[in-house]
Amino acid sequence: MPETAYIKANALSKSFDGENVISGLNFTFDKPGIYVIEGESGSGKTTLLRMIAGLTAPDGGSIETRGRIGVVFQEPRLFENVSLLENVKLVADKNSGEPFGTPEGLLTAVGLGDSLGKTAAESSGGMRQRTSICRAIYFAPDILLCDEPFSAIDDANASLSAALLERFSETGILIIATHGGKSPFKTAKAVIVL
Amino acid sequence: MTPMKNKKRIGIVWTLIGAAFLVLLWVIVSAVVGNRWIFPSPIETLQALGRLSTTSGFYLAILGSLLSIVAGFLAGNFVGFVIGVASGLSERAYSFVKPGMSLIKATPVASFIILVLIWLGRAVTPAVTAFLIVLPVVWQNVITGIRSADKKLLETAQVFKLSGLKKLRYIYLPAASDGYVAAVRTTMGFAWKAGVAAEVLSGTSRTLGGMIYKTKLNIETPELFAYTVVVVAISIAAEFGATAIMKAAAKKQKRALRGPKEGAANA
Repeated sequence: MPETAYIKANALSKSFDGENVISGLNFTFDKPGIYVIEGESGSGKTTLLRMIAGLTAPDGGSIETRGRIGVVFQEPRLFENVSLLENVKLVADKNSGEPFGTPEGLLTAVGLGDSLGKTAAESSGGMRQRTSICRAIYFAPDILLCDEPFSAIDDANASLSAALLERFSETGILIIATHGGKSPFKTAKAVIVL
Repeated sequence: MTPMKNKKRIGIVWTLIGAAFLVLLWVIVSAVVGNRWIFPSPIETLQALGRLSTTSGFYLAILGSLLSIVAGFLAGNFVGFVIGVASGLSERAYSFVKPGMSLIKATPVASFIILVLIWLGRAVTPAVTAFLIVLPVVWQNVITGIRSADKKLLETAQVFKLSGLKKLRYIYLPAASDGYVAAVRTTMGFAWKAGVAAEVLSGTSRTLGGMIYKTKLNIETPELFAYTVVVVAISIAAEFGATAIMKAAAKKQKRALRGPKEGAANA
């Protein structure tokens, strides 16, 4: 991760239909590690992640980021008729940084070594979600945003995926949005409760 | 038998009953008219077909029509698809092309045939007519497909900074192909019929339309019916053929997108 990668939120606000979802939020994440955003459904976790990724504009305040941002969306958003391996591979481009691993290696690390050639359409929800985690990591981001990444994954495979994400967090900023409950991560640098 | 297979079987049976009903109607009307030069019976038509099938001109006519109309059909598909993709991706390209396509769609086929005949001559009139019939339909369907591309996938492509080429290959082309397949099915029959009409009006030789025109001049109604049966049969076969080719192409594309099969590797 470059020394300069960071996320700075200053008095960040967002409302939908006149209802404040996020109001006056301030934080700075500038060191590698795991950062957790916790909250009930509809509390604004996804909105916050989307604002960090630049996909949704805030109504007030500002959000500033530096570094490549990868996203694991709540739904896997894979290319249906493309193999799981190809889904991971195709995010690499000439601007990619040092890859975190090989696509085959990443998929094997989350228990998908035997399913590389399966298309997304032929794969279960859990397999698709694990693939989307690998894709986002293979993108070689400095900041990785994960929106409830384990929601469709069984416990055993969630542990494998969490181990991979933990490895990423040693060098990158990892933000996990979760609705609470049992977390597969032992430590977090900061927790934002919405 | 599964409910789906049973439903399909019932559909086929009723289609056959419908076709048999039409033949029966043909028999009845021809019997009522009672004049083979005005309305020949199915038997008289088959006899005429039998006579024609012993001549080389019959096969040359089929070949001549197929070559020119299929050439126009394929050209219309290619140009319609390329312009459709460009118009689907760019509002400027769409606005630029739209007046031309509207003009083509609104102009009666007969006017086109006559104009092309005057401007370009009889040899290319059937091909150009088929081209003009296919072009706007393929163009419109491809645009509709591209515009219905999955917005979430496009957002994902934005996040992962996928190149325009990758977006085209993985998002837009699969979206466009759905509309394109529908267009091929729709236009195959139209192109064939309009192409034969162009052959009739332009009086081309060694084509089905040319032969139909000749039978009209000689008042050979059973032969006219026989050629019409051939045109209908080829139209139906072409539609089935186009559907089968499109299905095979879609399967091949799916296999290509799946990427090379590779074994497990180390983490």
